[in-house]
Amino acid sequence: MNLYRNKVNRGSYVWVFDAQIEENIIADVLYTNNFAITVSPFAFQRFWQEAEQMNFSAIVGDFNHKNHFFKIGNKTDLLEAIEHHKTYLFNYMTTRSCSMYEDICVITGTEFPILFNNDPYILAFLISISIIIGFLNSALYISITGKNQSLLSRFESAILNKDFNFVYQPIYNVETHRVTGVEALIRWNDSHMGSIGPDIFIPLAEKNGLINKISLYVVEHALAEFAPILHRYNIILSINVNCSDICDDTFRAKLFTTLEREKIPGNLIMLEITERQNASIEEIKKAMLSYKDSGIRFALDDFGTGYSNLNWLSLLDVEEIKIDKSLIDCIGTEPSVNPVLSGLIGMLNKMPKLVVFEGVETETQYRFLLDNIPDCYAQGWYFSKPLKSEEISSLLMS
Amino acid sequence: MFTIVLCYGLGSGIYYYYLHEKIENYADSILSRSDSLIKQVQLIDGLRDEFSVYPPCSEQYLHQLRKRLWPYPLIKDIVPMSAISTLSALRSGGRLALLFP
Repeated sequence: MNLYRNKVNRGSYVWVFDAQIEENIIADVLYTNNFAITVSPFAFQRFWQEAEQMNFSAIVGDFNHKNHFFKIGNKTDLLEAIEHHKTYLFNYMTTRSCSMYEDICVITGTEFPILFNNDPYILAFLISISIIIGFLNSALYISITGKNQSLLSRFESAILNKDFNFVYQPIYNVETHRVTGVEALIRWNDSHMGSIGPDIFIPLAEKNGLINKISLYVVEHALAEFAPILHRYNIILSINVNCSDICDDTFRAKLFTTLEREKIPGNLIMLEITERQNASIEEIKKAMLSYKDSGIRFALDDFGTGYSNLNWLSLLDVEEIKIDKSLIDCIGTEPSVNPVLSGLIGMLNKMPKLVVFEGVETETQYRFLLDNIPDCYAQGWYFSKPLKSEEISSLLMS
Repeated sequence: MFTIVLCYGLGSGIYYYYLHEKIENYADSILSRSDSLIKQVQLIDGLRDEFSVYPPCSEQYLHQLRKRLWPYPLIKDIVPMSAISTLSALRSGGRLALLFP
């Protein structure tokens, strides 16, 4: 008759497992030199309960796991086989927790349930979440693409329906405070979406290859609208154009046709060259020659931003340069840029070209220009906000 | 289909992490319980001098034993080795003498 299942000598004590103490009484007993100590049957009971609930297995042994003391769980044979590399289960996870001091190591293991043990509730929950996320994703995607498409289609419709309008920002001689020209600025006021700024629709037009259409639209409609003022007052109308516009035969033809139709002399038109990053100087130079006989003038817009500005200035035959607002903004704010400004002013004073400063908004900026470059020109909210053509008429009349 | 696979992967990852934490805690708890048991046994063994003043299985001895055993919940019973072959052993430990290595 077996009186115990396992017996482990631990030096200062002997641990006897599952010892049959009396009939129907089985317990672990630890013997020291002085006592026989019976372990409470509840000492490890909760681990058995947890093992059954979670399908865990545990083997308690010495640190090197040469001797196994006792086991907890119903699948300890599998854990033992995996631990001793006798078998392999890809979804079986094991952990070790050891105490070197007591020379005890606990190895635990469980199977990771593929498909969550086919638990219908968990699977149904995951599928539901997936469907909801998929639905929301699709809705978001459709909404974003739909919005972009609708903006683009509205933009195309606006060109066809001539829904754009123009405002004109006066350009002043700084010394005399007289209006010498205006810059035509396009505006889009959509009936549903309200006012849409050029910072939105110009990149949209560029991205979708519609920028040349916009340039044609500006030439045709701004010239037609502003023609009566040009006939009456000797001022210059500036229009922003891309490098690609200048080289484009259609644009050139449209410009000449409109000037002829509206009977506007070419020398009252200033084409401000913007977006120069991807353009070839040689092509622009060649194209500019084809405008020479018409008297149309050219300006270099946004001077001071981007790159190759000095290169462009030296190579192109432009009459005017427009200094970008970012340089004007430095006046009176950043002492460290004063040497730069001084250098720039020195350069601009020696330049035989018209110099227009954009974005002048404060008295300080105006005073600075008046003191340093009195024969320059300026535009900005300090002088006037962009006005409708009728308001420009009134302004010029006064 | 993609979102189902994604959600399943995500759910499995989270469950794996949860299960791994759980089983690690389980192993730590068993180790901690084993440690406690051994410490309690060693503490009781250190009390042998307290009992030696009384004759084994005497009224005072058993009273002292019961009193000292009370704070150790992992210990069910204790029998002095000197008494294992006596009546006390039969009363308290049954076949403990036979188990003794």
